[in-house]
Amino acid sequence: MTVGGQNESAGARQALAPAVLGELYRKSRAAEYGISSSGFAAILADLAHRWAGELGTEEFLESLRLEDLALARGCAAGNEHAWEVFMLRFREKLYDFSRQITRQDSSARELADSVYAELFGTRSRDGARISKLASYGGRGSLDGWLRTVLAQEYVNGYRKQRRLVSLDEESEAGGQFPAPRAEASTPADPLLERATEETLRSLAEEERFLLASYFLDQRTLAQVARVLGVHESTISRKVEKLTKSIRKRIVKSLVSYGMSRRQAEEALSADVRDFSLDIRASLTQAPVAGAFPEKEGGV
Amino acid sequence: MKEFPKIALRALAREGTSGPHPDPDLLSAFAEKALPEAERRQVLAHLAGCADCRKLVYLSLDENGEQQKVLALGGRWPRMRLLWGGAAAAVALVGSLTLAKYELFRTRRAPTATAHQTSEYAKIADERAPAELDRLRPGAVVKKAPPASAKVLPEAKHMEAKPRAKLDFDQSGQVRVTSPQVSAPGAARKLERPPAGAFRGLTSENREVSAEAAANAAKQKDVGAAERADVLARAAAEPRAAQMSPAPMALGKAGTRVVKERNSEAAERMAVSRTTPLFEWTLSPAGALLRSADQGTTWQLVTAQPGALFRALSAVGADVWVGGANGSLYHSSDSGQSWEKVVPVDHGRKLETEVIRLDFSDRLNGTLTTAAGELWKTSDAGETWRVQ
Repeated sequence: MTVGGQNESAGARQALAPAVLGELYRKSRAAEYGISSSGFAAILADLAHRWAGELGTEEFLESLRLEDLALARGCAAGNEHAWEVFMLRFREKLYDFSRQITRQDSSARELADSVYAELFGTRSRDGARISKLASYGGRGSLDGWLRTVLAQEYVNGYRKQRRLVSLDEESEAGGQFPAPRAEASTPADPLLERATEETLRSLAEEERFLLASYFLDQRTLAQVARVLGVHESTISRKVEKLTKSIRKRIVKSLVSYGMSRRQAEEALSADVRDFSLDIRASLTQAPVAGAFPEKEGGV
Repeated sequence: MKEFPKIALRALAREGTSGPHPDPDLLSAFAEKALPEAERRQVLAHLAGCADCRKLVYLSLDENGEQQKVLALGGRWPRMRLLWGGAAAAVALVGSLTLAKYELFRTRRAPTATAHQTSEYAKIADERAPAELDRLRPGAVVKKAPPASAKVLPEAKHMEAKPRAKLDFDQSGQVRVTSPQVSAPGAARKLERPPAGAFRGLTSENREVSAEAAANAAKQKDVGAAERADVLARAAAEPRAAQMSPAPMALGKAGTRVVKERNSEAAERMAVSRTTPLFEWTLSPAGALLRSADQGTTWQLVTAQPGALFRALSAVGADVWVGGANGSLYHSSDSGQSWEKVVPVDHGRKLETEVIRLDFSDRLNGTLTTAAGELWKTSDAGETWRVQ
């Protein structure tokens, strides 16, 4: 039985010396989960073909979580011992992770059960059960992969539920007939738009990620710091520095387009769409309150 | 913190992403910092524009890991303790480095000043060279005498007398040295005896004993000790080497000496008599024999033969030769404390001509030149002579 239904990449497999493959096979303990050395070599060859990239094949394979990979692929292949080990290691963790994500016990159990079903494989193709564990590639830990899968399942489930929300609930939430977004129709200073986009494009990937996480997603400094692997204070300093720097760069761009510095500062601080936000918020509240009937349709 | 420009915020929100979403494998590897830099940048670029994937990343963060991290840090005070601990460690490190540097500086300076007292070699010398050295130390406790076999000293080697004098270089390649201290008639009798502590013989004793230590250690088959003692002997001798004359002198006319450079070995030049202080020698213009123990500052009259006047002088360590009218030749092997008349004879012919020049290269070998131009040579410290 071909473990996980891998597509063998003969070229990548041939590039590996038998001694290296043997050492990787020994390290992974794949034999304990019923995976043959040739089957494991096929898995490695496929992964190397997909991901090795600039890294050398051997270096890439050395970086993999081989034990986790063997366990996942053993489970995907239906090996009983592999499942025993998996349940022993991850049963409690799956519920803990689910609780962290959903913040509710009932939802957490539901989420965990749902993911269990995915991991075990409820669908089949050509008579073989398709397990989600077969998609684990060993690049990160199996713990981390399971958390991400749980999060993904949670987000998908949330979206499904949002689509199935009743009209009464929508009405109670005040969003039954949402007003069209005003931003699209609001004219903006084209120079300001251009200067802003240029400035954002000039930022590094990490800086844009940081700004999006902090300002758009409203993540805490601690959360951003954990993802980027630095201290909170570093993130705080970076955010402050970026905020100042972006303002300066936009103003500088505007000046280079022919504006005076004062005009550029005014254009940046008095963006008309800032006012439209407040107006829209007021309009959203007005029909509910109904406090000013004489002004009906006045906006 | 200044407010982030709203237009920039909107532009950020509008930013789209190209390409497929990273799979959970890649996202978990990203969160665990397990991706190579290039791949990490690609994922970051996607995350910067993809709110859904950012949400997945933040949702999948392990809160237990964060709690454990916080517990490990233990709040503000442990952090402060860490800071203060780090500062204290830095101060201690700087202090120890400074101390180490000072010690290094001190040990580098020590050999030039008091090498034989402070160095490890001096300690070895104290252990290995006992009796003779102890007698020289004022107030020192006399050590137990070494075995008789250990007292066999190496042969005393010469040292050149070197008066402080004016050097005149002539066209013949010779150097004429004029001694200013004895230029005035009768000056020799007015000279003071230098203080005993000023004798360089004291240090020569030390050097000799150190050499003896090396010999003793070698005899005892203690190779390591022999090497150390040998190094000690060299270390003790070297600081004084610069003060000692590298060449023996031959004296011509009274008050004038002809100096010749010789290529004798450094060890021979540095080794000196164990018991006799070293002197510098010269002849007064009148032919009187003088010696100085303080490098020519003061001179002392030495009487080899009452009433005798000399024209030639040669000093090699403690061995001093003087010659003069009618073939008179005197030899002292103890720096002038006792004198012996030497009568050179070759094939039954005695030396009767005035000796005008004496030139000894070491204790045994030397020549004398007569006013008649004869060259007499000895190779056994004056026991036998041959006319060249």
